[in-house]
Order: sequence, then structure tokens, then C-alpha cells
Amino acid sequence: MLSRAAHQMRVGWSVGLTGRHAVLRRGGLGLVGGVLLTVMILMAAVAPLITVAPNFQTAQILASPGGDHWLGTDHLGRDMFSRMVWGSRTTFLVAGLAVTLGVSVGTIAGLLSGYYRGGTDAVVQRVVDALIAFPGLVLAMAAIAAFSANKLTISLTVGFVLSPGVARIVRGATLATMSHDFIEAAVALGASNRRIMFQHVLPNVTAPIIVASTVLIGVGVLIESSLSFLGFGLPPPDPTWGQMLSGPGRVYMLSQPWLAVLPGIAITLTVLCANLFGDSLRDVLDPRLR
Amino acid sequence: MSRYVGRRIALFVPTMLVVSLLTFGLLRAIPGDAVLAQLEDSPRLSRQEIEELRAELGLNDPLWAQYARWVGGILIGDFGRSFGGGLEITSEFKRRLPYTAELAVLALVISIVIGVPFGAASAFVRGSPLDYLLRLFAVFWLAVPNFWIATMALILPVVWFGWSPNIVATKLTEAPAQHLVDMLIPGAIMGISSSAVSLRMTRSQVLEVLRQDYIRTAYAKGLGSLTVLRRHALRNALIPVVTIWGTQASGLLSGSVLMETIFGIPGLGQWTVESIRLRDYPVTQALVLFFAFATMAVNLLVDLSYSWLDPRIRVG
Repeated sequence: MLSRAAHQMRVGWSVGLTGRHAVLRRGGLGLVGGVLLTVMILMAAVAPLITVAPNFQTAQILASPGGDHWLGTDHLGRDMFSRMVWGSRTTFLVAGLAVTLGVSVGTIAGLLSGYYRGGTDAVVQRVVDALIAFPGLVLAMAAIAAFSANKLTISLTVGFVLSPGVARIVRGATLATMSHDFIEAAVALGASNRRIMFQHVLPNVTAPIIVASTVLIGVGVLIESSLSFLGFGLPPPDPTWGQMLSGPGRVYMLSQPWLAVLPGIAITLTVLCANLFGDSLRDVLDPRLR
Repeated sequence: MSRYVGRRIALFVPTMLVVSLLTFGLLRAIPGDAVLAQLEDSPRLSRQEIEELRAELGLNDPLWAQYARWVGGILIGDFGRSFGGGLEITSEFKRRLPYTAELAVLALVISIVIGVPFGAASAFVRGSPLDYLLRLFAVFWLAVPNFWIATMALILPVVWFGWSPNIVATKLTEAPAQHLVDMLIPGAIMGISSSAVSLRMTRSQVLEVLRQDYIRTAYAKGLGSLTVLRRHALRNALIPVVTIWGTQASGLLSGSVLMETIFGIPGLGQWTVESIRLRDYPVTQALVLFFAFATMAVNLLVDLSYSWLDPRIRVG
């Protein structure tokens, strides 16, 4: 059942990427965003092969970019390029897990809500309303302060924060799908609720889910880096972009501004790529939303 | 109309109930109760003293009784006391609220002033270099993290002009002009970055409206471009844009957490971070509840104005 949903997602992605009007064929900024994002994720994946350990201290302290260390070193003599790449591992892992979790929970809640309507819908929607009203960042900070800050707790919290938005999108798409004749036909043929929901409704709502997932990667990266900027991310010495910016970045901001500039560029670039790619996918998969 | 308003207000109550239950529940679900968290630093207290403190704070009562007492207090405007120093939350809240409100209003005004006209312009000159420039501006500001721009706003002026914004905001009563400058920088950062959302939304709505038949009619009867844009297109396009100002509200609150921390503004956002760091649960609880309430109230107002702006909703 869920594997079918996963299959639908795969089909949707490939339609978005390689279909007749897809991102890869259209080219443009969406393609650039997608390619850059892929390159960054690959670099994060092979970080141990292309960089030194992020906490290896060289004799050169606060070296300027260029020379032996092409992005310079920080106040402990650690190579900035290596810390940036290792920081991206955390960022992508957390954002990826969080989006997977948020999208799964949100999709199921939205499907149930839009399919059953009535009482189920009323209850789910009140919870979704309440969760959307919560300040996500504050909620995440409180949860992380209470439980220890590690990759899993941060991903879970960020995913939790992302889920109500997905639920709303999926509910809307489900409601729209439910008005089609083929749903009535499925009911008339005696299909079970579960079958209709996952075989007939879900495939028709994958487009907005895929678009949302892509854009949410950017949101996840922003939340993760905001958290670590405020001191609620992975604790040092593990590098994260937000913490590099708020720690050494702010201490040495006047004499060594690149320590604050580089992580900021990395965050911006990642979110920018995810958004551009997401916008392009939306144009392909969900032209109504354009 | 009145039925719609009534229904919308009626929904506010159960949602608020869920919000209060979640706030209360989430903070109770945290392992180790508030007293233990408080006493981590001073382990010399005896078991008996700890028990006494717990009884004093009412932590031994059943959960429903604690919840009822908390909600009962809020209904008469009493949020209880903070752990650290037993500060009265309500009065501290009143002292800090103006800063956050000022920041949010500044940001919202800047966001609208930039987002709406430029969004409309972008749609109107679709495909032109100006359109691309404005879209690029929006895409950039959607991606760039507020806190980075804020950090840059502290660094770059020093590097370039040898001048820096204050790291601790001045009070309005002490130096009004300086106060405005101190608030304007974080307010502008928040405002510009949320204007990106307004801009994109306005652009796509105006594009949508410009395709309508009545726009062609307006042109056909000889109206000038600007009149068509202002009188016919913008009015109809702006209705959905108003809705996103509602969703912006919660973003502005999160933004205030970051901006107040960076620029040393003694508002609610800064207090939130402090209370979470110190595990001052009564304060965190009150602030989370307030933020959720404020977001919902703004959204309610937006929904109501929406039905007022668009007569089709009133009938439907």
C-alpha cells in the first residue's frame, strides 16, 4: 500500500524530471537549481573522501581564503571548506529526514481528512489549525532544549513543524479529487475505503506533494540553521552552518568576515536551489498553481 | 454574512482549546519536571525541600487540576509567576509586548509597501527586464536567512563606513530618534524578506486577473493602462494577497525571535529564547500560547475581511 505510494512518488518525480515538458528538458533556472542541489548533496555524501576531518586543527589559525586552505581556516585552525561540507551533511540529513517525516504524516492526515470529511475532517483540521498557529521555531527550540540535541531529535521536531502545512495541501487536493466521477465509479464497484484512498486518490494528489516536498527542503534547511544559530542545533564541535555563523562568525566578524559570510552563502544557495527546482517542478506537474 | 462570521468565530474556540491543551501537554511531556530542571544547578537542596517546592508550585496535583488552574488564571489575565526570580509574567509581558508589536508592525508595513506595488508592476510588465529583476529579488529574499542578513547588517557598515547599528536597542522614552533607527534595521530586514512572499503572490494574482474578460472590456471602453491596473485589476487581485498577510503573522513572530536576539531588543522574542534556555516553563508556556493566539486572531481577522472584500464568499 505504502510501497505503491512510494512508487507513485517515483513516477511523479520522473515525469517532473524527464517527461515531455519536464525540468531537464526546459532547462533554465530550475535545471541549474536541481543540478547544483544534486552536486551539494553528492559532496555531502562523499565528504570523507574529499575533505580532511572537520575538527582537524592545523597550525594556521584564521588563515584567509586562498593558499593551502581555499576557504581559509577558523579560530582553531580548522579548514573552513571541510567544515562547510561536513556541516552540509548535518543540514541535508536533518532536512531530508524532516521532510520525509513531515510529508508522510501530513499526507496521511490530509488524505483521511479529505476522504472521510465530516467528523474526522473537523477534528483533524482543528489540530492542523492549532499546529499551524504555533510558532514553529519556538516549538522546535523548546522540544530540543528538553530532549538532547542530536540529529534524530532535531529531524523529528522539524518534521513535526512541517507536517500541518502538508496536511492542508493534501486535504485540498484530496477534496478536489473526490469530486471526480472515477471515485464514484470505484465506490460503485465496491472498492474498500482503503483501496480508494491509496489506489485512486493518492496517485492523483502526488503532484502537489512532490512540489511541496521540494520547497520544504528549503524550509527545513532554514529551520535547522536558525535553530543552530540560536544554539539549539547540534552542539559543537560538530559543524553546522548556523552555529559556524553565530559562533566564530560573530566573534571574528570584523577581522575575519568570511567566517560569517561563507555559511550564510551556503544556506542561501541551498534554499535558493531547492526553491528554483521546486518552482520548475510545479510548472511541470501542477500547472494550475502557476 | 453574519452566519459566516458566527461560524468562523465558533471555530476559534475549539482550535484555541486544542492549542492550550497542546501547549500544556507538550511542556508536561518533557522529561524531568520543572523543579528538577530548576534545581540542577543547586543540588544541595534536600529531598524534603524539593518536595515542598513542588507542592508550593502545585506540581503534585493531578494534571487536569494543574491545567484547570492554568487556564482559569489566564482567563482573568494571570499567567502566574516565572521560576527565575518569581517575576509576575503578566506585568513583564506588558513591558515587553510593545517592542515586539512595534517590530511586527514595522515589518508588515514595509512588506506591504514593497510587495504589493512591485508585485503588480512585475505582472504588468511581464517578461521585461524589470519583471526578471523583481522576480530575482523575490527569489533571493525567499532563500536568504534573516539571521545572516542581520549579522551582515552588523558587520558590513563597520567595514565600509566605520559605523555599526546598536547591539542593544535604546528605549523610546530615552532617545526616540535613536530608538526608531534601532528598530528600523531589524524591522526592515524582516519586512523586506517577507515582502518577497507578497510580491510573488501579488504578481501571480494580477497575472490571473489580467486574463479576465472584464479587463479586456475595461481596455475596450478606452481606459488607460494605469486606471485598468488600479481600479480593475489590483482590487480583485489583492483579495487573496490579504490572506497571506495572515500566514505572514506567524513568520513575523519567528522572525522577531531571531531579530530581537541579534539586535538586543528586549521584546517577547528575546524573552522566549531566554525562558527556553533557563527552562522557565511558566514563561515559555505563556509565550507559546500568546504567539499561537496572536497568529489565530490575525488569521480570523483576515478571513473576516476576506468575506467583506469578496461578496461571493458571503453568499457561498
